Amino acid sequence: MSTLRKYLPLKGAAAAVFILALAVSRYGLLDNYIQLILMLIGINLILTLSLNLINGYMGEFSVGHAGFMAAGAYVSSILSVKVLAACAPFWAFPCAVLAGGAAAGAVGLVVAVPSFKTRGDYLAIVTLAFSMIVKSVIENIDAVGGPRGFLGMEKLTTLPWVCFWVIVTVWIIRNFIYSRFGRGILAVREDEIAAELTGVNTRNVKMLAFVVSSFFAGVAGGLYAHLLQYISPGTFDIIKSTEMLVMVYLGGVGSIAGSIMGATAYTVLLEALRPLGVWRMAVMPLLLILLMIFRPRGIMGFREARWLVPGSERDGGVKR
Amino acid sequence: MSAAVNGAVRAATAPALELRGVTHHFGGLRALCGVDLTVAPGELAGIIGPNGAGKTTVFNLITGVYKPSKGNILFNGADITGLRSSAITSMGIARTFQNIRLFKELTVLDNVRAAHYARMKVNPLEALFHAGRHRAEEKRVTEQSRALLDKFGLGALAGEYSRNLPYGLQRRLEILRAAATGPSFMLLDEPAAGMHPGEVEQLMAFILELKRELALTVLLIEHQMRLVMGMCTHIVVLDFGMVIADGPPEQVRSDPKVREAYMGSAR
Ligand SMILES: Nc1ncnc2c1ncn2[C@@H]1O[C@H](COP(=O)(O)OP(=O)(O)O)[C@@H](O)[C@H]1O
Ligand SMILES: [Mg+2]
Repeated sequence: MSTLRKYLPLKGAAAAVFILALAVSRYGLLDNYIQLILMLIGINLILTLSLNLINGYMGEFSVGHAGFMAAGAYVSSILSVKVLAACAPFWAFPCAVLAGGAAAGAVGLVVAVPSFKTRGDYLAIVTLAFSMIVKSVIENIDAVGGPRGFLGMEKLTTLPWVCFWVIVTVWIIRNFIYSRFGRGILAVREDEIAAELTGVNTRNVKMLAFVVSSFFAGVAGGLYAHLLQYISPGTFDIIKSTEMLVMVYLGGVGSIAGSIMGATAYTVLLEALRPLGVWRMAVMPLLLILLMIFRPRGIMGFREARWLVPGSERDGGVKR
Repeated sequence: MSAAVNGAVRAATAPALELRGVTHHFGGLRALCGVDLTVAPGELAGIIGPNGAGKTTVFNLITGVYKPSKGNILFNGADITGLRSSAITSMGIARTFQNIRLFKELTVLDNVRAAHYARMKVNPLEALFHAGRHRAEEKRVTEQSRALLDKFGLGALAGEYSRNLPYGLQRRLEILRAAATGPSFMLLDEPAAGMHPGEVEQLMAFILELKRELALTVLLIEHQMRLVMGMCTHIVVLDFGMVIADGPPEQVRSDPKVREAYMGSAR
């Protein structure tokens, strides 16, 4: 009963936001440009949470998350153009996105394997190499347009759908973090050997973290593809991975609230700087440099907003 | 049928831990050479020996951090040589480290809860979707962890980051974290290192209490002879990777080889 009361506000807020998103999109309460920005914030938030799981909570350093995103984007697009297009009921789109996530998750499982033996800088290089492999594989498959890219998706990504996936992502990632597996990846971050010796099967928790993380990167890819209606291998290059890094390290490593701030601030900033033209892309690396110097853990580094912490876990789980 | 009965009888009388001819090389360096070692159930045994004798290496081999170059390690009669560390821990062997290795950025409570990992049964899907079984298990583990901390004097600090604890309490927490894995056997690597004499007394009392409460078999490393002599009922002396004495404290103390090994470092 008391748990119910503790959870209700957050669930209620999620429901309210979702209904609001439905209303906005149904009755055009906001103009299309604002809606587009909101959708980009949502997609970026999913990406940020996905990367934060690996880089913040688990303390590894992936620079190849664009590869997972690409896998999700291509698989869901191919599905929705070539398989589902003819008879598309409303649930076809979430299924395509789900399939994109699942495909990315499978790729994540493969990338997890080197992480058993490799850490830090070396694992970073492995993830970078992996994202380059994904890119060149896509470039060499003519059936999906090769380097020219792939199009034909309908614009199925709407504000309510983005909202739905954001809520799912926040909910599942939070559940993950406050579970035995979540404490497992935190323990891996703190001291991998001690973690293994206190009974945490580090191989299993790493695998799980990579699968969950890449699944959501894939979901974001699917949403992105059905928003822009065009994807190409170039969409998912190192710049995309770097953007995710900036959002994670801007908002704060190891924090859901930080991820929300980072994704929002970065997306809005990038839009606000549009008049700068190509120069705006110089802002991003500059931001990264300043961050690393002045606030290496980001705005919320390792701290969580109270309303995002499950009631049973507040005050370090010590509330009596 | 009689084989099963025999097996059960043997398991009941088997040593809790047994090393048989364990040899270990680090590259060209031979850290351990043909070590035989037996610890009976319920014992409080000690390993002593000068720095670099190979004591920590013995622990690393038992807990699967390294796989021995030669020899076998048996736990309650089962061969555990070469198993994964987490598997060994979940069979009931827990340990601490010579240099404290807490999860520094986690709270005291979470250090202990993390150590319940191997005993928890919930699968990833139940955890990700916040299933009832997951919530119930979380609640149970949190309560058990708090009870453990309360009982051994860290309850008031449960919400503190473990890096903020004073050194003596960090040692204590590390031992409690090991206890939270649900062990029947505990390996303590120089638990008294870096402590004042007064603190050492307290720590030893704490270890004895924990041992009694959890019905543990304990094997501890100490390089100050004085400490182990008072506590342990069984002492193994290592020098240059070899066992040079093995027996009750009085016997070990009067052994000329031990005196020789300890020349200069004896206190
Ligand atoms: N990982 C390692 N790599 C190489 N040599 C090691 C390693 N661990 C320990 N040694 C060496 O093995 C010997 C025994 O070390 P150790 O078991 O730590 O001794 P003790 O704990 O008795 O002081 C030492 O000579 C040490 O330098
Ligand atoms: Mg040592």
